[in-house]
Amino acid sequence: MLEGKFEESSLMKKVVDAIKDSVKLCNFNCTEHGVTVQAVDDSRVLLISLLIGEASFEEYRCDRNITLGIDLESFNKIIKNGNSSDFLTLIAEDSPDNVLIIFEDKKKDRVSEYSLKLMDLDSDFLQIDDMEFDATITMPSSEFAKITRDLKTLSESLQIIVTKENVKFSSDGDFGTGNVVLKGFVDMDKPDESIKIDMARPINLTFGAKYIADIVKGTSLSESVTIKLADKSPALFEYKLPSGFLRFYLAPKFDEEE
Amino acid sequence: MVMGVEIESERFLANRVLVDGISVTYKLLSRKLDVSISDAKKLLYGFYQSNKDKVAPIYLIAGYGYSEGSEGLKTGLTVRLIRDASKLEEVKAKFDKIESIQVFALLPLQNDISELNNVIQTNNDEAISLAALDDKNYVKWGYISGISYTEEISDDVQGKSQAALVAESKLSPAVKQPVTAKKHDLAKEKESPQPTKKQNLGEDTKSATPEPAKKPFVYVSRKNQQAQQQQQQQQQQQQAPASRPSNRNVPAAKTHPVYTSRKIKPDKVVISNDVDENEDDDMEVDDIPKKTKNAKNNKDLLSLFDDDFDDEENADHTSKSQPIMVSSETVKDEKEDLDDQMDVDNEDIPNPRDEILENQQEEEEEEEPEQPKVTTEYDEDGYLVTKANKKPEKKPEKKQAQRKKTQTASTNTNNGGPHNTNKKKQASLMAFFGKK
Repeated sequence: MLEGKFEESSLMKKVVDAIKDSVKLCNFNCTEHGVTVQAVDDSRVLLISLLIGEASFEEYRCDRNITLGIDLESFNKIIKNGNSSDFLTLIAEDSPDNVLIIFEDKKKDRVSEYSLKLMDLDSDFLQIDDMEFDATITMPSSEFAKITRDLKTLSESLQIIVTKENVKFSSDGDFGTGNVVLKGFVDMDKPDESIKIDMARPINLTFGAKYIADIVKGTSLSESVTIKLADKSPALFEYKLPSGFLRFYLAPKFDEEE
Repeated sequence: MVMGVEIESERFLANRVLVDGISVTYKLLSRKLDVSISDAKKLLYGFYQSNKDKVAPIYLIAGYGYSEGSEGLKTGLTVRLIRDASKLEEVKAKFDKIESIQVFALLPLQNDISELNNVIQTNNDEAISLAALDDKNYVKWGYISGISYTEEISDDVQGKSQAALVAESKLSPAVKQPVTAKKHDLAKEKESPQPTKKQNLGEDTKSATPEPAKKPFVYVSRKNQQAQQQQQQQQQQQQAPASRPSNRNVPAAKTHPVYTSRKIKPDKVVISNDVDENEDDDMEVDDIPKKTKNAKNNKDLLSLFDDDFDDEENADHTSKSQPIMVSSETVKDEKEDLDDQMDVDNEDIPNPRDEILENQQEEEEEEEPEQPKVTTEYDEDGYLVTKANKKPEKKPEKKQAQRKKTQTASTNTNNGGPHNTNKKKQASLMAFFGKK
């Protein structure tokens, strides 16, 4: 039996919003420590790894591991019905056919109850070993979202070049080019607005802009985003949750001859 | 001639005539092998010499003084096609002087050559489909390109050349309709070929009558002309019984057969009436008052819209692409005049019509670039007529646009940047992460 109650439904709303465009169907694996999701997009370029830790819930109980095969589009339709400030409770049996989604208004005595049919989904869990990254950039998520949106208009590829002092986002399209260079700085008053660049080795990687555009949909989840890069390896984009994370692993683009 | 061509010709002729049993004319061979027509004829003759037992030639004899039968009329330059090779000597004997004997076509021996026209027609059709008729090919095939009619027509629009109008009226009757309905001075000029024709039909003694075709820029008072015309007509009527037989004796080759559509005759009449109205103005050709001229233009232009174009007329226009071209040019010219006139006197033309005119002109201008440079078609008598059109004015713009495009494309390629990123291939996550 699973019973998880969120203080606010907004977290779940944002999570679903962040991943629903990348994957349509995914398994929510509920364990005693929280809920995890691992899903790969259809083109197998972007991997989503979500952890909603036990601490994210006001109340959480999961007697045994339960897998909820959820159609995110349908789930999104239901979850939108609740107010962001409502309590959200997810209830499922041990071998569930559906999951109950209950919204409770904090001010009124209004309880909305929805049932979502579950799906039996095959999912290959990918083994993600601890990776060693050559460069780590922490920056405001909104800043990253803006850069991505702006440069995506020029080209379908987005290049990230990390040097000792700065990080350059670059886009080279048919009608023009665009470069955004950010230098690392620390804002003591607003640490979330700081830009931190840790670099062991210079990095020059190119990614599909449309995938990064999907990634930045997680912007609302966190004030900052951490980008971890390693040469010829998938990049990691991480949005931290109050207890947990939403990570995107994105395979880079390579020159054809490589 | 290159050796390769001979081998290719042998192969082509053997396949077509001996294997497929289809006739080949020199024209088709010339275009097929890209050689001059003279070479093509030689190749045909060579092939015939080596395959006399398998193929039959059609000879083409050109010469003077050909007479049909013992008492036949001897004519000037005659070109004869001899279907039966055995009758070659017989036909040759009928010529006083033979200019050339050439092999026109080769046919398989068993072929029924009674349908000679079909043979020529199918071969011509094939030849046309093989290669475009343009100046380059003309040189290659050894054709002598004719007069560029478009040039002359454009002259007449600009310089009001009488000679051009004569040529135009004789060459393309369909041209007349758009032209006659518009310009006052064009219409004025238009009238002049008619008397000339009448003169030709009449007595030859009227040598005093000016020949407009030969003196394009000499002004001849129409009053005088008309007076002479009337005189001529009177004389013709008087001498009619006597002159008719003499007309018959004139050899056909000397008179130029001119096709004039009966459809456009009423238009001519209208114009001649209009001309009569402005006859007094004609006395001063050098400075015709602009207003009168333009008023006439407008009148004629507007009459365009009153015309009922039936399907037949449309068919005439579409079948002759050049006249459409001419009409569009003249309309353009007319529009300029019209614009000038609008400044002077706005009351003459109602605005909506002007708008329609503008639209029509725009449409015509849009259509212009689509017209081919050279058009080839068969006229009513079965002759292949090639017309060279003037290059559309819009073309340079198009070319510029194309150049712009290619420039941007080339700058892109030089840039290297986007291609560097675009050339990149998206890797799959499965290459990095193994399944659990």
